[in-house]
Amino acid sequence: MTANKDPLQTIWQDDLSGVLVPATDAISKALVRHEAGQRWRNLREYAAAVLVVAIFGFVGLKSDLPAMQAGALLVALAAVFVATSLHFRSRGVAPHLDRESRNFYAAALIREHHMLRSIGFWYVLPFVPGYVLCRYAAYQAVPAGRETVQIAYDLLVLAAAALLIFWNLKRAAALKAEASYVLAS
Amino acid sequence: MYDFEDVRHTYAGAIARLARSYERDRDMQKDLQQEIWINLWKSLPGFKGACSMRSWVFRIAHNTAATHILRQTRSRRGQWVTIEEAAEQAAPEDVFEQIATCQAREVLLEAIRSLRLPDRQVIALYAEGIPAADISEITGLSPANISKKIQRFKSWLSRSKGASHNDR
Repeated sequence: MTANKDPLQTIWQDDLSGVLVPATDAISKALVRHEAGQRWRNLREYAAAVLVVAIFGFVGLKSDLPAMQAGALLVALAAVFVATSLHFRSRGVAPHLDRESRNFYAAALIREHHMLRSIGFWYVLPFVPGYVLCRYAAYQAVPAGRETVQIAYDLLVLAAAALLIFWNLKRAAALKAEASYVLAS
Repeated sequence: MYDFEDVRHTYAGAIARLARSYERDRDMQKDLQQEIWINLWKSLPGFKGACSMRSWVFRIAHNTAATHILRQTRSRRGQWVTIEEAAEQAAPEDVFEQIATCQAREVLLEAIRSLRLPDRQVIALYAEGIPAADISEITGLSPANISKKIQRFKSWLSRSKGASHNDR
């Protein structure tokens, strides 16, 4: 077999320099990346919450419709609740575990898994009462026979929420599989 | 369940060589190797054995390397050539002539690094001893096309020596 080897392959495969030993490094680097990704995601969510509070605060103040005012206030409160919830859910993982250990990384993955799996409850649901009120007010303001656009808009928002939940459930399942693997390996 | 440590021991050398074929800078080679190992490690739980472990490892490794190199060196893309374009240029140096020297490896590495990504992938896999059928599975190119690319690359390398090298 070796005798039939192409010289090009021999030259190439005989080179064993620069081999990296990745075992521990890979875990700590994966953990650093995971945490950096989380921090960046949280920052985006905080910024989005500020934006939602500003926009819906403005809408609530400017609107003459009581349902719209109440709805906008509830949406703004929901954004504050979600940002706070995210902050507490992302805080320190298993302080009793060694940061360099596989178990620590697995614990971080499992916590993220729980967070994403329940996203429908703590991320989507809080916005529902405010959204329903705002939409009720919007329907009141629409002239008769012009509801089609409003209905299409609502369907689009519903589809986006369903997609968000679905994507996060999928991601949660992947994190769980990864955590199981890390713990078992 | 597949064991990451087994994968690591079996493919450590190949991954290091692959990283060198994609990245000239030593520190960046290390980074690329890390990136490949992390991706392999993260993807291993999802490996269901639909293809061979070797094909799977090289597919992930090459995809990671391709992403890395495109991200790092978009401005250098114009300097890379296809095997066909390379065949029209002067041969780098006769690798086969220098087979006993360390320089041969460097010349070969430089020749591979000068290729565009799809061609680089084919040649790096061939150099690693992967059969054409497996290269086809990894790259999506037909085995005939792969064989043609390998032949052209080899004849480009050995051109200065003459046709006799093509028969080796």
